[in-house]
Amino acid sequence: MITVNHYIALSAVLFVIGVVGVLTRRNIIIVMMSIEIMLNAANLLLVTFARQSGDMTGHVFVFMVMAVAAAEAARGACDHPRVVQEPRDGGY
Amino acid sequence: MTPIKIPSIALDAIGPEMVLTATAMVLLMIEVFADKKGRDHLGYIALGGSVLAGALAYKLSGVSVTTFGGLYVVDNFSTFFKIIFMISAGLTALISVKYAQDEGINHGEYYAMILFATVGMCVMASARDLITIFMGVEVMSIALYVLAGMTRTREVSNEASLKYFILGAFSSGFLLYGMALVYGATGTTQLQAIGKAAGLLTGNPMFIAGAVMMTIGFAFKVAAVPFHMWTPDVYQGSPAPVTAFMSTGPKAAAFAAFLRVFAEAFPAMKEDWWVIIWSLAVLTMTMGNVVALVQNDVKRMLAYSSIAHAGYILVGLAVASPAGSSGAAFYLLVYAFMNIGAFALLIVAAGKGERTTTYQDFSGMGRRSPLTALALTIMVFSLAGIPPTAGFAGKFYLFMSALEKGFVWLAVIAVINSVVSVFYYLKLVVYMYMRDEDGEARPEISVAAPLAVAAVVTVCAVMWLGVMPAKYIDFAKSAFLPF
Amino acid sequence: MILNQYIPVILMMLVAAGVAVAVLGLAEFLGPKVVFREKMEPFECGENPIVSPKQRFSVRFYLIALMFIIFDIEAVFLFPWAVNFQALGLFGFVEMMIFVFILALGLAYVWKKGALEWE
Repeated sequence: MITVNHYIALSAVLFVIGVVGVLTRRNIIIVMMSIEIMLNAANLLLVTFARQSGDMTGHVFVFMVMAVAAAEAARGACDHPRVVQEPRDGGY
Repeated sequence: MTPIKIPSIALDAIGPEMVLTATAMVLLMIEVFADKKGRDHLGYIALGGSVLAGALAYKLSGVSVTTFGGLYVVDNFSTFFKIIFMISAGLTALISVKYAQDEGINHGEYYAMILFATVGMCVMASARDLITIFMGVEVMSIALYVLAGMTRTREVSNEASLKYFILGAFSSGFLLYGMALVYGATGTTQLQAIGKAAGLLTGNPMFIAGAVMMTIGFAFKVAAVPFHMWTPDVYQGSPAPVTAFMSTGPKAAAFAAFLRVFAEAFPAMKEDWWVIIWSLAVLTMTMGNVVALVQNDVKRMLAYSSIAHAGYILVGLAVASPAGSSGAAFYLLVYAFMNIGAFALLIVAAGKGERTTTYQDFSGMGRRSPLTALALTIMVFSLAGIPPTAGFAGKFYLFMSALEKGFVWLAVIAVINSVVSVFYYLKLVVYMYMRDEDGEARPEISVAAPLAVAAVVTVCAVMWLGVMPAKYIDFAKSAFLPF
Repeated sequence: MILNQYIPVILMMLVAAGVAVAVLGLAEFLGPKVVFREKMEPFECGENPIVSPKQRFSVRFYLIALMFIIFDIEAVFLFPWAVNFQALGLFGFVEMMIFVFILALGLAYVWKKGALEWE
């Protein structure tokens, strides 16, 4: 039987994986993936609690977080070619 | 189908935010649709937008309204902070005009990002719900990540942008996870409802873990030691006007959200959390000041001094009283003027490409450009907290609130720290007036008109707030939060 | 036994796997085979598929991907609105039009900036 506690544990594990990934990896892409894992761990937690209490707020929160995560990913991806290559003039 | 009940929406309460957003979008459209000449006015449009938004915010003083179904609140606290943000954004736009033209970043995006960040800051100050706080934090942060890397041809700027992004997103993760845990423990995201539920939850591990992780998230955003690692490099690498902006407005916004969350959602934990904030405050100001002592670069020194100032402001949070929170708010207002003023003069002295920012480069400034040197001296005196400048009034009011509540040791440590800081601030004055030039070629000091205006405004504000602070302190007092 | 309920599912999976193998096998045996170079390449991509992974590729892919992420995620907000369109009434409509207008401004910016040009 899968209970709320299982989801909480899973989300905690995911969050820790994300934190360790950010702190130990030196590859920007992997660091960004780790950050996404952290955010999604929080998302999982929010959805779990929302389901548990039958409250919609958690679901709405997750929508917002997804939009933010997308913006953040886009922002982070912009950095990558700039840092890896010589910055070139003209054109984005 | 039964219609969904739409909560009441007070559009007049979000006037400042709407003005800022509209101005930012207009700037973006000008960037792509206007010809090159149109770009000369971008900075002034941004300035106009922030002034108008500031006026609208000021008109809302005294108003107290919770709207958007409890997501958003406009009260004196948020109004006071919004005025700080508008001052910060407006002055930043002003000191950016010349800089942006010199560095080739005179784009609509640059000013639009400043305004978008300001919108995020306003949302943070007005949020009364975890969702709105998170959205505010992210709107502000993402715009700032872009701003930090605006000068794409400078390697340090790219590095600053990347570092800021990684650590900012990392701290957002902590903040969000903490929010999720708090939501799980209390079943709500509304701050006041959390506050009510928290009374029954003392000792609940999930709730405590959530509160602690949110504290870590906020500590990152205000650059409190030991969560400050990103600050020096980011502040040094970012374009100077952006650094001025980041160290004032966004910092104030993070403090605003920090204060509101802990005043409204976690009042039940007041007995425990002052220990955490107390240690954060002491660590932050001591670390910031001690490391600032040994810097050779003025911009980096200002970065560390910014950490130290965050420490002083944390004193107001540790006190957790109305006087403490209004003291912090007043100090942030003063800090916005003096730090942006200092950076305006740094831009003047550093010249194109920010090549000359070491102490050595300021030698003989008193002779080369007496007015610049005088203005910078006033800023530095204020940062050090020497009367009759505003820095003194701010520190006095802040530390008094600690004494009132019996935090004698905290006040003593803060005063010792201020004394230490005098040393490295006055070092700059010594270089400007008592060292002769070393004969190296430095760019001619020419003060562009917008920079001169910004310098005059900040000098006047710093002197005025220092000599006649009573009225503004009263306003700050009306902006307290119930602890 | 609760597992009994899953027997149809397992059967279904077996049948599906069988059909897939059968179709592929038949095509292998019966179909005519003409192999030439262009046919073996993934088409409509424009990039040589087999190269060292360290090679640089056009930054334009990056841009398109970024645009896609942003505009794709905004659709997340359209969906709940569309489902509750009638319940939300005129207010919801106006609100969503403002939202879409702001997105359209973003699109206009991107377009005019030239980020959608492939050449």
